Amino acid sequence: MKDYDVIVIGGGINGLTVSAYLAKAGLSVGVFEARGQCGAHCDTVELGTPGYLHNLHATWLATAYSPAMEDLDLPSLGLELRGTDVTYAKPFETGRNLIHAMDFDTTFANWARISEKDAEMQTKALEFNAVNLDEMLEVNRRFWYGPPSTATLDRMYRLLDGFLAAQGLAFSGAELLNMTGFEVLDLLFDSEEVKTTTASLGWIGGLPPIHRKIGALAAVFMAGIGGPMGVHNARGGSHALTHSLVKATADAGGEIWTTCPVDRILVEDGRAVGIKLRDDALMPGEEIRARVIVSNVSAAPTFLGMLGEEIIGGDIANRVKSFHYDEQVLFGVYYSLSDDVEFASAAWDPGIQRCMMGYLGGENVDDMRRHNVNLVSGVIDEEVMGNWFMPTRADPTQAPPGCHTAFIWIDVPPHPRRWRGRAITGGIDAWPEITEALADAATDRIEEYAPGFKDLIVERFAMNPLDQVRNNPSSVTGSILGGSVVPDQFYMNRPVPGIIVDGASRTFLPGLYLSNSIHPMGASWLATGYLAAREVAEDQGCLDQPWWTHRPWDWFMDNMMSVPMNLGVSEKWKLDESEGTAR
Amino acid sequence: MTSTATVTKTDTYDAIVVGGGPNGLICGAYLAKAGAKVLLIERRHETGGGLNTDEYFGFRLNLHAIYHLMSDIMPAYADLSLPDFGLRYVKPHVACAFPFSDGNSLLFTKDLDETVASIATVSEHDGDCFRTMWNEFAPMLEQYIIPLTYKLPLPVVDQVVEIGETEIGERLNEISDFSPIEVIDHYGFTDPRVRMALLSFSAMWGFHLEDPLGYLYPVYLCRMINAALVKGGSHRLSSALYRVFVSNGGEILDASEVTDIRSNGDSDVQVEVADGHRFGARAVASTLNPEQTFMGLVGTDNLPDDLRYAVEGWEWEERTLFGLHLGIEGSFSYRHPEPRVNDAMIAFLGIETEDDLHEHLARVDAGTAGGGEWVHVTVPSRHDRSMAPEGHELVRAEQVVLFDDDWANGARRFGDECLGLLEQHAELGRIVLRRDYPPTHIEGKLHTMRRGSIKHGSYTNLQMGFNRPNDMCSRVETPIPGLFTCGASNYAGGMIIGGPGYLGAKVIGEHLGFDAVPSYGGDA
Repeated sequence: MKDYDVIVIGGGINGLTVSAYLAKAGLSVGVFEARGQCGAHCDTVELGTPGYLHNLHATWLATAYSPAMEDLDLPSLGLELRGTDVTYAKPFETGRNLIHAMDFDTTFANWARISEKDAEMQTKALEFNAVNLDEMLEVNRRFWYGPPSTATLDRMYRLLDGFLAAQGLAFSGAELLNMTGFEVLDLLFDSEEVKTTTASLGWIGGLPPIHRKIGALAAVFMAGIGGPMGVHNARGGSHALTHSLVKATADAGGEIWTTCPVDRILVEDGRAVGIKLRDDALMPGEEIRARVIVSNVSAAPTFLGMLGEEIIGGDIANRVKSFHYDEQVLFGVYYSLSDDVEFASAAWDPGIQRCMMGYLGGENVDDMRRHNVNLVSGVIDEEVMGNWFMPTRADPTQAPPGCHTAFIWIDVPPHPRRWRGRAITGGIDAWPEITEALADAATDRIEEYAPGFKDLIVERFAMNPLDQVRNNPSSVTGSILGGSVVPDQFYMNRPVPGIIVDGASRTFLPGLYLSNSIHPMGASWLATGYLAAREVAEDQGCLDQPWWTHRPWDWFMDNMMSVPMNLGVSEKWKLDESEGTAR
Repeated sequence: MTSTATVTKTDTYDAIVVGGGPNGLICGAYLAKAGAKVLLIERRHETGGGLNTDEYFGFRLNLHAIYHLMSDIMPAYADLSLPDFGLRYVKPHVACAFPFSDGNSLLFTKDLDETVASIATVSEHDGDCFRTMWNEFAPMLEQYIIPLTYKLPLPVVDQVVEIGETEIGERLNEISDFSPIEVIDHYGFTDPRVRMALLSFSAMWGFHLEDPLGYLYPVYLCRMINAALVKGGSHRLSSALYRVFVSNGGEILDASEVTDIRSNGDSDVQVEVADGHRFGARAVASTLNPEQTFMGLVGTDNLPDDLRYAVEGWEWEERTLFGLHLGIEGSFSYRHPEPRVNDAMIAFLGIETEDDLHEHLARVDAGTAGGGEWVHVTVPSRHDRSMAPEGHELVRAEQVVLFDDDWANGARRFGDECLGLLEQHAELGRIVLRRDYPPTHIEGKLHTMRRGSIKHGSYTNLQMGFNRPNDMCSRVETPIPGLFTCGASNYAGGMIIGGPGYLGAKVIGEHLGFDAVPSYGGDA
């Protein structure tokens, strides 16, 4: 088989971002994907009755912030983002709900009914953001789409200092980042509703609030810009993003080989020079060479599986062995529904009916904290709490007319030790025994917030961590972010000290780059792929391209108001156009 | 609300292909490769149509097409360099196994002597008959049936005259009007088990064994014994076509349903999609069924009377398939003493004689057949490890059934019965994934395959050959200026043979003024 300039191992969305950028920059690129389809964490499938599409992984597409939107012209390749004007909603047993909306007045009106103080804080945050918009954007560009650097951290600290001062708080940004997310929430907010909602937002953003530094970061980040950031899915489902990246790659002459699991990365004279395919691949055992190898497979399978201790050395090997994947592991329950879900709290504020995602369960901060503590101790919490999604409110093409899909994601320990007071043995292999019971509990919990929900269920499907591992062995223990995002695996330290030597993706092994398990994390920002593409292009001397804008966030700032909203919101709850807040 | 503000597609094309199934992709890929500006519009979020492999939790479920009788020898395979886009076939040596309860079995393998020997263990006489039959079928396929699949059809009488010019062609004409039962009578088979097996090759597709479709019999026998599985799942064939199309500048608009086709003349056809967006083209190729294309999209009022009558007479199949798909942790193995049954691409379970088969099919047609009567089973992961996660197997069991709108309610029970029959014959590990797939799901997934159709419209002489879909449209052109048809409801039919899409590209290329396909078999 022919050689390439660049081989990308793994055709997930970040691997495809690398291939599309580099093929467009003129390099010959081959992508080798183990599964049949690209986009393991950006797929859309009909689990049961045809016509009901389920997005099993990424659903909140953060792609709008990526420079790939402009650079690769993804919208012209079929990626049509769709959202809801209410971006996040959390119902409470009291019958109230807290919402974030694209329109600040909508958010403010809701918050003010819950807590004058918190609404005030939100207003101050907005004012601060407006005044400092350019700097905020620049810090975000550098933080999410730039290599980890102390200079960026300094700028972030200064911005935080200003933010805290504007709130009348006598803390520095650096002090704040030494707190846990829960501590910061207590500091900033008054009501349990706002605190728990913000905690849950940080959590789904991949930054669990129990941790210092990252939890704190999430608390501030989500409190400040959680609403206006926009929440999107795509026409036809998340997999449309995968399709657009496949097209961008193929359009530019990149070649994609699916059903091609990689067995080894070939190393000669201390340099990565190619790959050897596994025996069950399309081209069994074949060796393919390239100047550059980019691994979009997560750290443990890359370094321990495809390289091995004899090549990476015992030191790095030991560190990679302790790189852990056990947080942000999800248990999903997917529903095909005959109609829209009606939350009880819609009577209090109907905004929740115009929302495609939120959180339920966790009535107060103690609940959230207990859940988080249980999680890190291998206990499945008694109370079901998790993120709910209804992508069909943004994109009705994902279900038959008038019908909907919904799902709930519960954070679970991959190796559960205890649930409902009973010991569980077998670690991850125990999942089949508890799957249906936990799915029942999740269904019951949704019913409590949305009476009548059960009557709408046409079909139900559960996905446990074992299913995720079967689906994608790179997602070790079912991790959705390429390894847990915890303080010692964050920013400069990601994945583990000693692997990244310069920038964000260049490893200690010449010729080998990573686009997974590096900063910032997985999810659909297309940030890790962008960073790897940028560094490879720099090293190959082809970074200077007229189309390569290096402008994260610009597409979003320019286009956020024209992303279609609320296309699948039920007539009963649609905004009156004259209110002027529908977009 | 803003509609598709983010879409920046240009609005006029040389050709628009409606429907992204195998034929739509083949047609589009040839045209794009020849330099035409082509837009393909697909209703689903995923192209491929019957080339569907739903992949989740590490299992790759071929919910529709699985056995490839001819897609490895269709012209598109070489013309479009599909292997360069990741297409590989797996060809199990033992194609079909019929294990019997008394410990005997019939094995049909890619080696004729081996097959004859296997038949001889049941009936020596029938083994000889099989050799005679095969030796006639092989040249019939090579010289006529396969090449004709990729040539525009001639009116029946002309076709018969052309074929009848050689001795082997005359033999083909002779058996063409026979039913499958008459074909095996003709070759002298007598053993009830051998006859059951030979009829199963037709019955498994829902054919009526009394229908006069003799020219198809060699296809379903010989090509099934030579059948291939697509490595990584059937969808890899559509992925390869998709990449050929996209790499040649073809544009795909998916998750978009075409709602209207309007011809303003020979080279100006307008296509409208559900969100109101309109596209124009010099040629529009519909791969949908005749009812959808003409009654639905063109509109009954815009059809010439004779075309309208022809389309109104379109017939759907009566029999279709029920599928049970299982993801198994551990292994799957048949308990039969003949170990090679486990090597077979397909094993037929539950029926052992010709009479049993006829009685079963009568019950199918009466709607009284149970789910545990007759299944044909494939374990794709046994032939291709990529189809299931390590340490797991993927099993697909299918039954011939009647279509019924109420299938969704009975599917689970029917699947349980089907599983019961499987468990009688095989040891299987823990089921970690189960999918019951009733025929209503076929129509639900692929709207063009009405009433759970698996062949995109009944195979009867009134709608085959020059008459598929009718004598006005079978040569791709239609009475509507600028509108062409080239889906599986066109000549030469479904089953992923790639004929209609190939012929569609050829004729549309001529309409646009270029050669879209290389010549095939002398006079493509």
